[in-house]
Amino acid sequence: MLFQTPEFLVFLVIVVSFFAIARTGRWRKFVLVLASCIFYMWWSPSFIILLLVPMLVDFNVARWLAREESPARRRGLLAISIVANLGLLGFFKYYVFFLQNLLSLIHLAGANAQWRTPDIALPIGISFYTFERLSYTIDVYRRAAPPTRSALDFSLFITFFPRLIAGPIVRASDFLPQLHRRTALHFDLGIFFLLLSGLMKKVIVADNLSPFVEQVFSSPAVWPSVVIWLAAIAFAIQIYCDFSGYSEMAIGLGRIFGLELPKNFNRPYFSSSPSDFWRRWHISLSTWLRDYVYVSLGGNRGGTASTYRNLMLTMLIGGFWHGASWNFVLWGFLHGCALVFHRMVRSAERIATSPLRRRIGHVFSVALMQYWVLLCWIPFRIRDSSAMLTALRKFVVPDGNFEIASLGLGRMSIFSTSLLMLTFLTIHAFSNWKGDLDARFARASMPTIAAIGIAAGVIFVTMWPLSQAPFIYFQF
Amino acid sequence: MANRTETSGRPRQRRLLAMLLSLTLGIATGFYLMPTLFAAAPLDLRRTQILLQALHTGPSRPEIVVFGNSIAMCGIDARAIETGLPGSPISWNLSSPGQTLAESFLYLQELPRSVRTIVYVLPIGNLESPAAFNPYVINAFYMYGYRPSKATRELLTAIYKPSEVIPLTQPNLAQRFEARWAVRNSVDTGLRQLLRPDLELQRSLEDLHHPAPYTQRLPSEKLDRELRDLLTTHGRGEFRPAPAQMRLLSNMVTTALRDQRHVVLAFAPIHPTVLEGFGAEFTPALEEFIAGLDHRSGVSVLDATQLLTGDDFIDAVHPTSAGAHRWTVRLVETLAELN
Repeated sequence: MLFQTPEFLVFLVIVVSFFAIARTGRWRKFVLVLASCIFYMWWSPSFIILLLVPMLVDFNVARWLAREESPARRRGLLAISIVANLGLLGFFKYYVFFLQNLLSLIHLAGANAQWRTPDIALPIGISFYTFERLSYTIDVYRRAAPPTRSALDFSLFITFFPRLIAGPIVRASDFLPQLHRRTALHFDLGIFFLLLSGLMKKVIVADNLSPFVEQVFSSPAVWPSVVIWLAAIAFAIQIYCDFSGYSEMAIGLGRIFGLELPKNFNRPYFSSSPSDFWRRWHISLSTWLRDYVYVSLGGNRGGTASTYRNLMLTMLIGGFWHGASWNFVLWGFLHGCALVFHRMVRSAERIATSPLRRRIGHVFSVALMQYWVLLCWIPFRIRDSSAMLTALRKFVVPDGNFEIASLGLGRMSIFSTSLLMLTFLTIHAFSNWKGDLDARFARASMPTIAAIGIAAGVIFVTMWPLSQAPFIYFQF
Repeated sequence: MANRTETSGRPRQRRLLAMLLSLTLGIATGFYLMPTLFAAAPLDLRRTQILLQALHTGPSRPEIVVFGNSIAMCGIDARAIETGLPGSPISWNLSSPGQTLAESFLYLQELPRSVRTIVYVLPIGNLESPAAFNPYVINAFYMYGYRPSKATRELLTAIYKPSEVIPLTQPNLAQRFEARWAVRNSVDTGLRQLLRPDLELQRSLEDLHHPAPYTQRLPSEKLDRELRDLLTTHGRGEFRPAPAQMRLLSNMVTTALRDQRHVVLAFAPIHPTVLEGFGAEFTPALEEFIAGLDHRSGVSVLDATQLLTGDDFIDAVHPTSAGAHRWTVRLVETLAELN
C-alpha cells in the first residue's frame, strides 16, 4: 500500500474517520495502532509477529532496566534487547549474504564445499524499526529517557504507520511525550502542501527519472561519459526526491493525527563538506549512528587515530545497514574516507580570510562535495561489480564523446529527463534561497492558491509516471 | 487583523477548500486538454497518424504495401517498385520506427481492397522478441482515431499476453490518461529535430515511398563503436523465433491468402560484421528456419540477410540509398516472379 495509491487514500479516510469517532485519547491511540498493524500486514501478514514479539521484549526489558541498579544485570538486560533485535535483523537481512561469502571464501581457499543458500524474504521496514527499538532500550539503559508504563503508547511508538516502513527513525524521547497530550485531528493548508510536495517529489520527479537511470546503469558500457554523468545526477535527484518525498508525506500524515515526526532532509546537495552532508542527508539515521555507534565506539575522545577509526567504522556500519551487499559497504567506505579526509584538512578551511575568498571557497567546496556524493551514488546504485567499475571509470575519466543527440531514435528520453532535472534543480535552488516553498504557499493569497492547485492538477495528469516504482528505501 | 484572519478557522477552511477545488479543476483540465496536446505534439509516433490518414482518405489506392520498422523505412524504395514492375502498380512503404509484427497487423483491417500484395519486412530481432507492442503504440493508434475490429482483438488476445492486448479496449478516459507519455516524448522529439539537422525527419514522417531519415554515413570510428555496442547488447548464439510471433505471422499470411492477396516475407539485411559476431551457429540456423517457412502458392520468401556489404550500411543496421537500391531491386524481382 504505497502512499501514492488509491487504496492508501481509502485506508487513510477510514482511519481518519475512526480516529474522529473515537472520543478518548486512549481509543484514538488504539485506532492508530490497529490501523498501523493492518497497514503493515498489507505487505506481509505473517511478519507482524516480527514487529510485535520483540516489541514485548523491549517493553519489558526497559521497565526492568529502570528498576535494576546492578550494573552487571543492567548490561545483561541491555544485551537481551540487543541480541533479540540484531539477531532478527541479522537473520533476515544478513544470513544469506554471510553464507554466500563464506562459500566464496572456502572456494577461494581451494576447498570444495557446496550448500544451498536459503531463500529468506526481508520483512519490510525491519532496519528502521529495529533501530527505533534499540534506541529506546539504550536510552533507558543510559538513563537518558524514562521507560513508558503504557504498552499502548509503546506499541504506537513502534508501529505508527506513516513512518513504519521507511522512517524517519523516531526516538522514543521525542515521540512518547507527544502521546501524553490530547491527540486531535489537524488538516490545514500547510499539511496539504507538505503532502502535495512529497507526492510531487516522489511521483513526478523520482518515478519519472527512474527509467532513464535504470536504462543507463543496467549497461553503462554502451553509454558515453556524458550520459553516465547525467544518469549519476538523475539518480542523485531520484533518490533524494524518492526518500525526502516519502519523509515529507510521513511528516504530513503524522501531523494529521497531531504527532510530529523529525525532519529527515535539509537540502543535502547544498552541503559544503562531508560532515555538513551527513547533517543534512537522512538526518534521523545519521544522528542515530552518531549517538549509538560513533559515541559508543568512543567518538573523538580517544585521540586522532581512534577518531578516524570510529568515523570509518560508523560509516561502514551505516553502509551495511542499507543492505547485505558489498556495494553498500563500499559506499559507506567512500563516505568514511571523505569524513576522515575532511577532518584531517578542515583546519585549512579557516585560512581564507576575505569574504570573497570565503565565498569562492564555499562554492568550490559545495562543487567538490557534490562531485564526491555523485561518485559515491554509483556503487550505491549498481550492484554488478563489472558494470559499477565501468560506470566509475567513465565518470572519473571523461571519454570526450558529447554527441548525445545521436543516441537512439525516439525511445531515448535524454532531453525530457534533462529538462525535468533542470526544472527540479531550479526549484530546489530557489527554495534553498527563499526557504521552504510549501510553507510559503500555505501563506499565499487565494488566487495564488487556486493557480497552484490548477497547475498541480494538470501536472499530475500529464506527468504521472507511466510505471510506478516502490520507494527505494523500502528495500532496506 | 490580517493575522487574525489567517488563523481563524473559517477562512482557513475556505483556503483549503479552494485548494482542493482548484486541484480537481486542474485534473479535469488535464484530461480535457490531452487530445489537443496529443494532436499538436511533435511525436516520434506521428507517422502512425499519417499512415492511418493515407489508408482512410489518401488520394490514390495502393496495390502493393510494405510493412516493417526503420530498416524497411531506409531500405525499401516504393517508387522503385512502381517503376520496376509492369503496369507501375501504386506502391506504398508503410513502415514506421520500431514497427512490430503485431503493429503491422493492426493496419491490416484498414487496408483498402486495392491492395494485392503485402510485403512484411522481418528484422530477426522482431521475430525473436515475444513482445507484441511498444507500450505507447496502442495508445497512439487510439489517439489518432484507430479502433480495433472484433476480429483484430480476438486474434491478438489469442496470441499475446492479455496485459499487452487489454489497452486496445480501454475506455476513453483511461486512454486519455495513458496518452501522457506524449508530453515527455514531444520534448525529446522536438529537441532532436533541432539538434539533428542531418536527419530528414519530416520525410521520415510523411513520405509514403522511401521515408529514410538518414542522410550521412557514420564515420568509421563511430560505426565500429555502434557495431561493438550492438553485439554487446544483442549478442546471440542461435536464432530462436518467439512462438507468439510465428503464430501471428502464420495468421497474417493465411488472412492475406484468403483475401486473395500475395505475401512476401522479406528478411532484412544484416551488417556483415554483426552477422559474423553472431557466431557460426547463427547463419545455418537462420537458413534452416527460412527454408522451413510457409511456401504455399502466393507466398514468397526473400532472404536478404547476406545481401548487402558493409559499405551498403549507413550505420550498424540501416541501409544507405545504394543499399536500398540493391535490396529493392531484389524485391522487385521477387514480386515479378510472384505475379
